[in-house]
Amino acid sequence: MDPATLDQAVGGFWSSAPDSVTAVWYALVAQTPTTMDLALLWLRKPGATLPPGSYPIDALGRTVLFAFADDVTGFTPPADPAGADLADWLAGVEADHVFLALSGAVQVASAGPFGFTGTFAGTAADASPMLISISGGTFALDGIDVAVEDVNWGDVKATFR
Amino acid sequence: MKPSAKRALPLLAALLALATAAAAQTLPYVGGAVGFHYQ
Repeated sequence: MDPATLDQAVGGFWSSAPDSVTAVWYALVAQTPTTMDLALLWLRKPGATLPPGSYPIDALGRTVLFAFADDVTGFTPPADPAGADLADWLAGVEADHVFLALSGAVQVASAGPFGFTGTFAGTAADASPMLISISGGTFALDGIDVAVEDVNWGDVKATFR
Repeated sequence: MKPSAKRALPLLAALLALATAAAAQTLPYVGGAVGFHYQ
């Protein structure tokens, strides 16, 4: 695949600290040669796990949020994504609009180091304020399955014997 | 000889940084799909 033809990117991370866990995903979609749309969703909660269930948007505490930046022209990735307040970071993103969730919920089907799946919906606003409604949100992120990697290493060794 | 606090601080900072890196474990999501509608 030619990297020059890529016009979408999806990724994220699971981060566990002694007293909290954070799950984050991002999606970037090129719009024009010089602009892209950026979507972000994150959950940060005390404890060691994010059990399946409904997580209401936490616009004040910023522990459960989604964001949509429309026609981004420039940004600098956060130096420490796991420790950064991503809402603060979004304030520095150069875009036509940066919408942050005001209400709604994230429904987590599964969350952990090897996957993050669920749905989301709600309202979001930018600073103007312009309100948008977000519906039908879905996400399914894949982590690196260490067990599968082990099998692959075994296969590679067998092939070259 | 008793080490001075000034000399001990960089070592303490390095140890704290190592402890923090070990304590916070981050694993990447390397792909998947995301979608939503907005209006």
